[in-house]
Amino acid sequence: MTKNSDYCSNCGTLININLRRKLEREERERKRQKKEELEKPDAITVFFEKVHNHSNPIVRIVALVFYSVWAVVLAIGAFLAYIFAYIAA
Amino acid sequence: MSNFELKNVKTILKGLKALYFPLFCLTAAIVLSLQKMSAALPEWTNNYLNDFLCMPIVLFIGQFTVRKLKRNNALRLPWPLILTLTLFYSIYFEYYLPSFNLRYTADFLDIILYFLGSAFFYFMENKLMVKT
Repeated sequence: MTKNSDYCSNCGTLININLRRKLEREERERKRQKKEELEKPDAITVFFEKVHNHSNPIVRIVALVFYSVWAVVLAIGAFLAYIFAYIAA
Repeated sequence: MSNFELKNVKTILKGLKALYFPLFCLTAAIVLSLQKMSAALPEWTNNYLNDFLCMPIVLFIGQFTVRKLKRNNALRLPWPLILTLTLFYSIYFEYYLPSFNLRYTADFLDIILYFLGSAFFYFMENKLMVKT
């Protein structure tokens, strides 16, 4: 009789349902990460990665500013503010 | 709070996190359309509802774009950025535009609603850790 064990004492099958689900989740996550790593980066990412290592420091700084979360979000925010002002007027 | 109640609260919050953006967009579009049709709306809907809905919509679009751009779905907007954008909206809509255009009126309550909307977004996206 299998008692207090995650595996069947006869055939060695994993019988702990919680552990089985946990392992399945981890396997799915591993596969997803592997898939993401294998995916080809898009043109914008490739461009910014290239510019990121540019020899000219000014180009590097400009690229850093434009690729930063702050610049992108503020630009979108400003654009939407303009649109909202136009719609509401 | 009992386990059952806690589970219910979590389910509601999970649903809200998944649905608030389309729900807010739809509500804002309906209110704007009714205003354009000169429909009689309650005062708080006419003057204040869209001010509350504005920041979560803008911040969500911003977050969505940077997530796509940086290919990182776990990316969250930092609170200083949320605060900066909210300040920008407050100044632009409640100080700059009213001083140039008669169509706009400065209202302190609007500023409070911008900040409330941003706080809602921050809570939903940065504090609420439920998977959607």
